[in-house]
Amino acid sequence: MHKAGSVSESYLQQICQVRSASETANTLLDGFEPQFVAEPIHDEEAAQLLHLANKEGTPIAVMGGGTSFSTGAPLEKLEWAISTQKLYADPVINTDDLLVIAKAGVPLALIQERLKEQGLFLPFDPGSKGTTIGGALALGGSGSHKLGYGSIKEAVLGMKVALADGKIYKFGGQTVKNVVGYDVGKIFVGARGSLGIITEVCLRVYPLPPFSKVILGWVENLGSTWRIAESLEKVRPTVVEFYDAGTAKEVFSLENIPAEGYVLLIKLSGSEPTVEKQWETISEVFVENRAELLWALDEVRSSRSVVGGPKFKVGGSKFEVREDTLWQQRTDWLCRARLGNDANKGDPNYRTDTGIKFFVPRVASYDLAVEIEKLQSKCPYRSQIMVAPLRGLVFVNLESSTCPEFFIEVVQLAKKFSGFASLTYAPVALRQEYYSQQQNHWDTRVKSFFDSRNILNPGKRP
Amino acid sequence: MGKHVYTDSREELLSELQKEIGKAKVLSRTRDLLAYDYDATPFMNLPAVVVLPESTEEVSKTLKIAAGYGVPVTPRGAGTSLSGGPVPTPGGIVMSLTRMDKILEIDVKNGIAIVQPGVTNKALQDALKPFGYWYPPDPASFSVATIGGNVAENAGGPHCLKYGVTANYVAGFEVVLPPTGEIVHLGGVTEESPGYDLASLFVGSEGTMGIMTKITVRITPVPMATSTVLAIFKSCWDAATSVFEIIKNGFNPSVLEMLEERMLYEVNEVFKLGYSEEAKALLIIEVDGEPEGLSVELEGITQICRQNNVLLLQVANTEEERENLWRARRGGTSALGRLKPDSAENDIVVPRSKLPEMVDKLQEISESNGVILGALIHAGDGNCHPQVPFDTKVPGEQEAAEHALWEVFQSAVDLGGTISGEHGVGLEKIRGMKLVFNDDELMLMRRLKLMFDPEDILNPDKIFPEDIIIRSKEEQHA
Repeated sequence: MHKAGSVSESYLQQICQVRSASETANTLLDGFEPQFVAEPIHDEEAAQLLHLANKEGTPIAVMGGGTSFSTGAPLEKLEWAISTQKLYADPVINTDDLLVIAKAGVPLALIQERLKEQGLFLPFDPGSKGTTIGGALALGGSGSHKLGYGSIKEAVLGMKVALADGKIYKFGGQTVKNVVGYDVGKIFVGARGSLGIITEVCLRVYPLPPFSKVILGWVENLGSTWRIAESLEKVRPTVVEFYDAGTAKEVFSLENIPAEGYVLLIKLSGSEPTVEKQWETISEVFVENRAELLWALDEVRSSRSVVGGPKFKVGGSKFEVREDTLWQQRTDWLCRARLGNDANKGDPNYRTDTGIKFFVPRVASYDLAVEIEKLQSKCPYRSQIMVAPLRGLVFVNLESSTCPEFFIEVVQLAKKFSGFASLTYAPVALRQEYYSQQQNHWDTRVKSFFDSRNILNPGKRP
Repeated sequence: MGKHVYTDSREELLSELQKEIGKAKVLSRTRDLLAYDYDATPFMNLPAVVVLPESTEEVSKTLKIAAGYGVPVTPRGAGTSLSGGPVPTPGGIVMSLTRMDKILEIDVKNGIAIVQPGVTNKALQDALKPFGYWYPPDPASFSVATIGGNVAENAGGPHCLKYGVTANYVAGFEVVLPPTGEIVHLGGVTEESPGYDLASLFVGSEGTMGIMTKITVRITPVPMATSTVLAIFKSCWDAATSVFEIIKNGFNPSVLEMLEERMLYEVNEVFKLGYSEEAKALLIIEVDGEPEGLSVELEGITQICRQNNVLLLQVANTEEERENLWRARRGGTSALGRLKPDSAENDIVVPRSKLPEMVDKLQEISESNGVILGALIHAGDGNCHPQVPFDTKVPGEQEAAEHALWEVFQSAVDLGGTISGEHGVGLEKIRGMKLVFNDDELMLMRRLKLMFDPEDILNPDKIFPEDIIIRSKEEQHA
């Protein structure tokens, strides 16, 4: 039997199911292989496991589906892991109060599927295959629909967490308004599992909009994208993003679009007259900025119709296009390169992309994008760019991790524009170096408050 | 708490504060202190000193001095709180932030404004109007309540149904922490910030963790158009059912307010609104957005009202008509409050689908306790303000009022809700904390408070039951 530190596999088996080393051989977490993976099925088991690891001082990883584990600040050490995938029960959907209660191990895709059957949805981007709701919350962030529906954190009404003292705590509840005590639950969202294990969550859900319109447009230059985005703010779009043409071609399978320029992705949602009025405004803005409509999809809650021109296709036959295909394509692009970093370390052809997410004041997002483009000449490898200008978000995927000067200069830009950069995916060594410079003393104190022995996903943090 | 050990050093404390902050900003005469001993609840305590800082540095110095003397500090905005939050710890320092009242920056391109904590909600709204922007959290006290106070309580307001509460609009802040007066910046202008989300802990922390000295709030373009409809129902059940059906069916009103039977009766009497005797509940519903979309929303909403036996529907076609429809809603608290010299209220919240049951429960509680009980309800959020007028000179009336409101707490929790949706815990709801949290959860929150305020000088008597405070101090000193 394997023994990690002073915790043996057989001891853990008294608490819950355990996958042994031979079964976990391909599980790489920031380059570490856990000696075994404990799979609690009840919250109390998760709490017991944490308590044990804390008592023995054994560094453990906590993972959901593991699809985004090897991103951001990397693990520093590891002996064994806890998977929350078996913290599972059928999600409970309350259609009267518009909420869903889900155990951490429920796949995000399943929740969305069940919600859609009831005409509801969570404004989260689809994850990779295997993404759990607990994992999605531990990762945090804001999805593509932030403008329309707020961040992931804002959807959290209540949660249960297991902490290193072996106890389960409940924070929040089932109501949108709640000012009783401190909002402790929110600190676990985006904490990368470094403070405790989210075991159950109550989330606010939304009715599917009666009408939505998703638009892909093309513009010649960066300046036009910013002018369009600025004009759109009063229209209150749900999504506004733009991609360099090469990236958009790859992400959305667009054929026959110019190699240069930028593709705009816009989504509007609401009642049909509202959306049509918004669309009218956008069409005028397009004309003023010489933007070209590539594709538009109208979705009515009970039916759909596609409006498009002959010179493009998205994902194959335009009549097979569904709106959710587009969002999955977007997620697949954001996640695809990640899987190349550690999963295929024996494969000489695996990609070593580096993903950098910038958050800057939104008025700086255009200038930042311009600077990144200028820096492109310093690196022989291609960079792909996505900008959400009304959110101040810029995402850059560098198709290499071996261009340090470019990387360093790009990251410095964040400070220049009064923002910050986070490494989503990159080789472990690069992430280690980057995140070692990022911590502040209050983060250290909070970590120490919840995990005084630094055993829980040690090294990982927002 | 009521301990006064620290007031033995009152003269030295006063002298040091005057030296560091300036005599004009430090009050110690009883007649001045009396102006700071209260809020909108019956709780009152006399402070030892009132400090009126005008800068972050002065806040920092005050906290450092207070910590040195072990004297508690109660931060205060306009004192409009309905939970006892700004009521001083007896013999402590009140730090009134009303002189820090500057709007430092309005940046519409980035969708933010930066304000000092003493800026009133109304002053911010007025400053944003010329830009075509607004700040959606709009508690009823907005004309006098300060942004600092709003953030401390995570204030709501009628528009939070569609637009969210204060926490959704706080992008970041500068906060001063005891005991050293450390100045920390949390959050910021960007959508996300690095590190753990400590900002979420501070919003709604009721002045128990730190004192905010600059607050960055998100602002948003004003809606293009608004439509208002008033609906009168024959029963509270029908009105409350309409509320959750409206939301459940995907309509997105910006406001959805309800007056239940007793409240409506008093409002009708006072303001001579002419509603018939059949009128047992009133809804005020507003939709906003693109003008083209409003009629579709209104049509759907009014259809739901009709399906639930609405008696009367009135749509406002002008701003004057809109103001008329709002008279009932705005006059509720004073109409009921006029019946007796005092009144008590709370702000429980229940899941929307439980609103019909909760409203029925309010009537039951009123009868069984022999009290007058009316409620103004932010119905879209399930947030009820049951109000019980009483006369302290009539033996037993205050006790009956308090007992009735305690039963309201219990009923809300039994229905899956909680004891406060927007007023905060303060002093008023300390007793109710154990209905919501177990001791472990309370101790964890208390330890978090002590992590930021190890000397426990900021509002030490608020939020937590006394046994939890004692246990946490014993643990801290063990």
